[in-house]
Amino acid sequence: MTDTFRPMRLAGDVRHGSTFVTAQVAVHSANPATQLARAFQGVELAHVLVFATPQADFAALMKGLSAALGPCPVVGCTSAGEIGRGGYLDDHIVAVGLPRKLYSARAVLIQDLGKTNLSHQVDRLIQNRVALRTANRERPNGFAFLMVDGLSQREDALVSALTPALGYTPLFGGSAGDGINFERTYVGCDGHIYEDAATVTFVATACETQVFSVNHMVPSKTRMVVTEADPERRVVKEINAEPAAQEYARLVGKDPQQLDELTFAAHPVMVRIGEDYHVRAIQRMNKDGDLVFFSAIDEGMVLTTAEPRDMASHLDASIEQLVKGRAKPDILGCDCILRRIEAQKSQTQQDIGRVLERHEIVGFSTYGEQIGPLHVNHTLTGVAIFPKSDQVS
Amino acid sequence: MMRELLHPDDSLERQRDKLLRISAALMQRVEQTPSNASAAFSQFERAALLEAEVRQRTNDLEKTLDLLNQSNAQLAEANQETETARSYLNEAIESVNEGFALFDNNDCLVLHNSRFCRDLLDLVPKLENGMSFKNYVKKVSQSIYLDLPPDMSPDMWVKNRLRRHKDEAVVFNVALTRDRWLQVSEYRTTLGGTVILQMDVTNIMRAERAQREELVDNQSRMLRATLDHLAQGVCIFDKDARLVGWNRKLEELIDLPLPGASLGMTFDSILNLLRGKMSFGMGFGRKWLVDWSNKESGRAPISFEVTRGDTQTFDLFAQEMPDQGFVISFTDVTQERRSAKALREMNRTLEHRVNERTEELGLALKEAKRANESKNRFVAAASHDLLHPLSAAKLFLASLQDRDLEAEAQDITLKAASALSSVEGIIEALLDISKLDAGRAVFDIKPCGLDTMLQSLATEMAPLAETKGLTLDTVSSTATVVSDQVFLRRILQNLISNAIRYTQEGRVLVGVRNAGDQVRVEVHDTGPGIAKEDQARIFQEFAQLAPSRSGSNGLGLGLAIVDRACQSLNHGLDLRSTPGQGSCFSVTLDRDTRKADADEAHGTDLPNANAIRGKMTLLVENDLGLARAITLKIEGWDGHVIHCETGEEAMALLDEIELAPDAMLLDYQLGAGMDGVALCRALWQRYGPVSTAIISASRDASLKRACDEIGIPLLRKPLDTVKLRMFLDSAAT
Repeated sequence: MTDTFRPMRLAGDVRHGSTFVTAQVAVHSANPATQLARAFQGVELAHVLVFATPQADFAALMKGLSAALGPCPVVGCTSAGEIGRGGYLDDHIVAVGLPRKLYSARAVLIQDLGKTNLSHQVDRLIQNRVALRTANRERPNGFAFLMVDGLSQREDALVSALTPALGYTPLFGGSAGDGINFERTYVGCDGHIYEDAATVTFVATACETQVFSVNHMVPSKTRMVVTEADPERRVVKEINAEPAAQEYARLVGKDPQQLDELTFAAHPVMVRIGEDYHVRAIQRMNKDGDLVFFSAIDEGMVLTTAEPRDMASHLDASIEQLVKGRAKPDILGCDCILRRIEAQKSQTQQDIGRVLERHEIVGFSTYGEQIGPLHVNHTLTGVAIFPKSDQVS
Repeated sequence: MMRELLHPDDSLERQRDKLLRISAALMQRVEQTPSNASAAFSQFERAALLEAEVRQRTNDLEKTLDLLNQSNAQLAEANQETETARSYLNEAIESVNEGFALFDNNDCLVLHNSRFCRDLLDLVPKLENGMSFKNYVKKVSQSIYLDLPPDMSPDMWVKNRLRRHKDEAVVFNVALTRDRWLQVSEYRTTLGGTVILQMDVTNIMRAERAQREELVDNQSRMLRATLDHLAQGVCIFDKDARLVGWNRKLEELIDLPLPGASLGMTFDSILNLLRGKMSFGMGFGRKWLVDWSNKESGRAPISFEVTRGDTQTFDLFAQEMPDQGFVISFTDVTQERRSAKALREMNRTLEHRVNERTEELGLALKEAKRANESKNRFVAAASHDLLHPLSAAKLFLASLQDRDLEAEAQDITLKAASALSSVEGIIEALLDISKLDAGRAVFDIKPCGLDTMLQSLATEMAPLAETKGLTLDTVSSTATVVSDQVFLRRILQNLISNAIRYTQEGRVLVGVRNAGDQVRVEVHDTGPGIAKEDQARIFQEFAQLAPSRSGSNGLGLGLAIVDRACQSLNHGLDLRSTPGQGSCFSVTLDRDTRKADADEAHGTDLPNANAIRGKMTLLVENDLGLARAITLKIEGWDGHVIHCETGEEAMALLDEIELAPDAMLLDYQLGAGMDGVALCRALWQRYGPVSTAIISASRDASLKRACDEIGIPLLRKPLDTVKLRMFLDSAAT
């Protein structure tokens, strides 16, 4: 059966990708939930993912969507920005609908990340995953999509616990954001919203999927040692036995009084594990002159400053490389807020936007990204879903 | 880069403190355990490390999988190729016209095509790759489609087959039921495997058989034609003494078709049919014949006679054939016998006549002899009686000559004396002649040298020749001849004086010619010659040619004496003459070739060198080869041989020809009939005690005793030629 497309009179923007349907609506339009639901009309949906600007009434949105979309499960989170038609978006609500024709999905909600013994959740996750697979033997491909409260500080533990439950299913995801306010972040599932929670959505499809991450940082030769920190709260107090922010400013050649998110975005630091360098993104400087990080840190850690390459061309090339030789995929992405900030600072936002548009990447900006068992920063993680040749709609 | 670690404005102490702190932090980190580590970061670290490792491993795995896929692909390709090759191979061997099977070097079946053992329908489902050769052979031997020879069990067949399998290459035929044939060939491959090819040769075998049958047909047609062509009647029996064939001539000869005679009749039954009509010759009874025919093999050839009524006689010859059957040939010898009989009659008549004539001649001869003798006696007596008055007359004349007489009277006495001398000569000549005639002349034969004799003659005759104005030439010779010297001189003297007498002018030549073992003394003259019609006459008494011309006083006795003397001495006397040209008288003498003692064998009593010549020997010998050899020998000695193989045959034959042999050579073992000794007795009964010898290979003492009893010699085989000759010689004399 063919999907019918009815043009909307209202301001909801719908795009039919190769495999899924995307709809976006400005936050201040009337009844965004209804609009989005209408946008999806005519498509039998297996699952809907929603990324909402913190400006939205997230609870109402989730409730409304669940009601409107009926039996179809809806999961979503607050963002630090949206990615959709037009590239980097602000103040939008972006929804991705997975048609039942090509997809099957199951979502698992994990609450009380701070208190829960996460290892107990593993069983649930495994059961759900296996059940999904068993019911969809003709859809052997798939992935797991994580949305987690970005202020929970529990992403590392969560991902660590999740990993054994995944089997061969690749995981990616993003931490829910709160613009640049860093105050409240929510995850929503089936009409309800939660703090200190996470949703894991298992997706099964016959289409080829490829989970990926893109990171344009190049380590420099400048290193520093974290001499004092509070790992629980991801706070670095001293670097090189000097106050953290101050020392950081010195090392990156900035005025310690003028450290802002732009600086942090422009001068990230990386930790080397094995052969690889992982970005440890700095969220902010607190009033004590400490640096608050977006990801796990520890005393005695050696950090290396990084230099960004040209983000736009790097992203373009990376996606090209990813797509090489195959049909044009749908791409769902979790993009670090810091990348957006960097883009703004370097005024390459439009270039990035064009790249994002060109590759029809849809998603949201995050307070952190998950790829496999790792919680990372300053990265774009995502999944590319390649249509089968007879399924290009 | 380490410079950045410290603030450039820091004092050294500060720097030191800072460095200490940094070192402490690092050390702590390095030494940290899971319990005091920050959970989040260490989780992250662990995860990152694990991730890196996993990535590495995944990479390796992917590479390995790639390689594996490659190998799999190659393997698949290779398998494909193998499959393709295999299917080509299978196609190929399927398309081959023969059954094909390949066993590897462990003697396990590797592949075979559908034609393999196709005719053994019960074997085909049991053929499977991997089965051992032994198993395969065993199953073949058990197939109901295999046509085993009646004396061979399947196990024996298996044994034979496996024995053949050891050879490098082997080809043999296998018989299947319903007259089908497979030609099976096995070849060893270079890898030690075996290839078996099976070709259906049924058609070839059948064609060959048909050809053979046609050939046999042709042959039997030819045989029939040949048999029908023969002048003899022939009948052929198989080894069970059943009639399998006869020719037309036989039908004619014995008035076949015999009622009820047909192929397959036994010899016995046929004899039965002929019973009334045939009678057998002596010694060959019907029972004996049947026994002979019933022998399974090893029948000796026999021949015998049968008569039919008294009109027809047949010679039968029976012989065994290579297939243990036998053949009997009938030859109608009626005519022959009749001719033989006629000849015998004629012979008898002739002999009778000859005897008569001989008697007549004998009488005539006696008469002649008597006449001759009386003549001789008369001549001798007369001459003798004449001699007395003659000598008296001579004496009286001599005394008259002594007296003194007138010339006229003297002349008359001389003439009278001459006349008396002539008369004396004539009387002596006559005496000689009569002596020669009566055969009472005694010769002293010995070597005579011609040289001296001729010289003396030349001297003696020379004046006489001179008187007539003739040349007398003598060509002498150193030859020595064998003769009576006195008579030879007289002969030569006579011839020379005759030559002189009858030649008016010219010469007389006396010469000696060599003639091999003989010597010819020739007397040539240039006289008037002697015409052919006169040549015989001149040797008669008192014959003279133109006596007036001779001017001699001879009575014409000379040549008569020469003739008789030459005859008695066995010297050749020849005359060659051409009237008007001259004559040549020649005497041929034997040369004396012996050095020392003259042998007395050369005389008138030359004994006959060959006693056997013309004598007939009966040879009864059943060994044909030996018989032929003996015959040849005896015939080489100018004897005659009658050969029979059996005693019965010999007796029958002698009966026929009604001749008694001069000698008999009897083999002791003569087959089924009588033996040599019995035969000797039987023949002696019939023909008297003919000289007989037994010949035998037997060294048995009892045989010697038997021979001794009868009193005949035993010649052992192999025959000693000298002994044989001696026996025959003694028999001939």
